[in-house]
Amino acid sequence: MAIIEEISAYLQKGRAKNVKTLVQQAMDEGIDPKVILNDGLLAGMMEIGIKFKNEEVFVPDVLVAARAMNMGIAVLEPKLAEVGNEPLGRVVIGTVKGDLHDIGKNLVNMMLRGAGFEVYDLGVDVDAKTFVDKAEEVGASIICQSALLTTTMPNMEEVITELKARGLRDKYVVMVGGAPVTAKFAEEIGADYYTEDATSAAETAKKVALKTA
Amino acid sequence: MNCLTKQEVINVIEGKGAASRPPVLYDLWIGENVFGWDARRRAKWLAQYPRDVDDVFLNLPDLIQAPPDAPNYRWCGTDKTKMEEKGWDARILLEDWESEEAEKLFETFPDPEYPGLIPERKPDGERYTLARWWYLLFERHWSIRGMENALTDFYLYPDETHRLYQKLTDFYMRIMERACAEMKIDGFFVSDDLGTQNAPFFSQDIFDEFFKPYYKQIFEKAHELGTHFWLHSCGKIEKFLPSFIELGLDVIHPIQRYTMDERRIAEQFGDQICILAGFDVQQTIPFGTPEDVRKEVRYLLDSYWNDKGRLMLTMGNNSTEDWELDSLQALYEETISYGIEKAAGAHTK
Repeated sequence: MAIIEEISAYLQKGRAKNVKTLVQQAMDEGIDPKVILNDGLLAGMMEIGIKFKNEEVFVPDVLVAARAMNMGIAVLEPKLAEVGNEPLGRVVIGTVKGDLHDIGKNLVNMMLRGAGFEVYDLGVDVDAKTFVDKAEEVGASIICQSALLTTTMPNMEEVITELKARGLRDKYVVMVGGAPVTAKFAEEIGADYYTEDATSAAETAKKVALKTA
Repeated sequence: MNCLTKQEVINVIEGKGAASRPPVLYDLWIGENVFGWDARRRAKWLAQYPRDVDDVFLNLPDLIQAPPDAPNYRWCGTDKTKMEEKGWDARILLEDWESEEAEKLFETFPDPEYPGLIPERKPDGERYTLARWWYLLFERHWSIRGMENALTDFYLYPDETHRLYQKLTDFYMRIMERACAEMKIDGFFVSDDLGTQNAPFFSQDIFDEFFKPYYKQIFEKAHELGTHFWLHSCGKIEKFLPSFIELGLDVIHPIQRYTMDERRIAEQFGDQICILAGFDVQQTIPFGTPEDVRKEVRYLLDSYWNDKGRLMLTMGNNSTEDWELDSLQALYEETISYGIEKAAGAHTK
């Protein structure tokens, strides 16, 4: 369908108004809202993610594409609710206790949403209890933690400790990332996955969700 | 410990010859937090080692707080009592470029003639001396607009972004003139992080349109004043290095470890710009042993060494409380001993 491809193409250019208009038009033409979402909006966002990883586009392009995606989803949402569309999974994300850096975590959030996840962003300076409480509250299956500082990255382990203390460790997949974080560190603290960029985080989360579905 | 002379440092920066060892500037990024916030203890500890460059911070405006004698000496154009309690890079001082508040920001831009700009401590000028401030163009932009807004401004509000950058540039060029007129200054050292761990924040097209014209004015002003311009820019900025060289940037810091290949950078650019190599603060200093530190020093010196100079060493970024003095001691000792060895090799060729 040409219109679905157009939605994807405009989204990749960050043309929010065009995306909004075309999503409405596609709905008016009676196209399945799940097709508009998955093959138009999310496909466009995944394409941006791949280009971002390959340094063909950069953070501003991701931000304007995400903005276009959000505007398209806002138009589509009532229809999606009617047909009972379920997200790929639910993710709780935040920057760890003591750390006030936001942008890296926000990019992961955008990519996860672009991959079809429902994302609960707890913001910055998030303690272990809040991560776990929120994950339990919303029925998440993945917890994503971000840190930019060497002094705050040890706090990532506290979430693992909190999960173990509550007997919940096997219920959640814990992903970690951020500039000083490494695969070795993730292994040392007992996290499930380390990813080095936002696109890889979304790809890994998607694989996890599809495997456990 | 003896410091290098001002002329030796200048020669290194300009590629006129290596000194008896590479200039050591670790102290510029080692703060009181490493010493339990004890300024005297820091000064005493650092006195054991060379401090080849002196630095002084200009008193630039705060985002919202103005001094009593200059109510407009602040970046925001309207009264605000405090910043939002959000992430460091998500706080927004100016929400909407199309608002009256935006016009007010331009109308009440800080006055570069503010007397308090020049710090009370005047450097004696014996050593090479830097005038410093944080946040040049992109960093000042996002501190006002929030990071996400600033990054999308390049597409959504290009005219406003150009207007802001030119206003900032005019302000900076005037304060540079004042700094040189009122103090003995050899260079300016300012921060503008343009990269993430994996990539530049934005494309070369954005860099060319929004940064090159303003950096050019600023670097040329520094040269007109008989000084150098040093830029701190974290992240993977390799794509922008040819432009920085073309624009006449004198010193680039830190070539952040793990974001670029040090040997490739040295081969491609080491003869054209002075590298102020930033020691790894993400792994080696906080988590490594003193022996790991010594190995890393040798790696940096072997990678970047240039008989013409063009190499100085400092930390990759500001200190955090997890830095151990044993590691810092190893850092200084190895830099000096292996640096002298490298320089002796150069001088006997």
